[in-house]
Amino acid sequence: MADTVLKNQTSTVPKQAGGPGSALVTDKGTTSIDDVVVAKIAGLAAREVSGVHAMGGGAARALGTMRGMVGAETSVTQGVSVEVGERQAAVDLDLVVEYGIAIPELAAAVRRNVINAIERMCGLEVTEVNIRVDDVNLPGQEEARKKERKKEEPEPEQESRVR
Amino acid sequence: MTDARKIADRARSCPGVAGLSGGPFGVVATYLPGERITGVSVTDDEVDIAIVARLTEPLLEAEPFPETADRLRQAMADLTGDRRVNVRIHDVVEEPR
Repeated sequence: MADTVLKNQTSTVPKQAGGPGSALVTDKGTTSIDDVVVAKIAGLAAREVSGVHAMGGGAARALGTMRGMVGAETSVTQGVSVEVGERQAAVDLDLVVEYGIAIPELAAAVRRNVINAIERMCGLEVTEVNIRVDDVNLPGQEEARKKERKKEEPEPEQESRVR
Repeated sequence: MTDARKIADRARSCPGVAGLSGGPFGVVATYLPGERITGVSVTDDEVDIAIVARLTEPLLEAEPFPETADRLRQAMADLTGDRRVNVRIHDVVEEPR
């Protein structure tokens, strides 16, 4: 199914003369783009679509949470793996979606946005975007967590103990 | 070999370039007495440049990397002559406009 969807959508991407990929290898020199660059762009483009709650599989998210606790930023490339060649790129994504979202439609929107961003920014032809939905974020989860946290915090209006 | 220093300066002043980078393992560099220019290496027929590109939001309005590379090639055309200029996008940074 991924293939058919992909074909329909790549055709809507405005192409430069000669198609994507031709802008990178010129007679004046080549332009090469590292994997991490493509991964960052794919991660940003996927997160732009509303309905995407988080990215990464269980282990990656747990690690990301721990990193967040020590004050480090969660990585943009979490949940993204890419393979980049001279003219083409393939992307695999791990998503956590919001509850109440039509997953096939969301996947199509994410795929479209990721393909658009990579083909436009990097000039690489995207051969495939495989999406794996790892989890669904239920609306109650976050509020319950917040309430728990509030309970742990001492009450702000305490009578002064010293006079 | 002052060319490498000039090329590095021109590259840094291009919009869309956040900085120069050594590329993987820091191999893209020019070694001069008492100095090392990271991100530029010049040979008789090729110039290699490794950069960290600037990414602006929203993503679809940022400058595509092939255009950034062309702009680099144009900016240093008088220094590089007819050598091929290979541009490597080694990393990106997000910068709010």
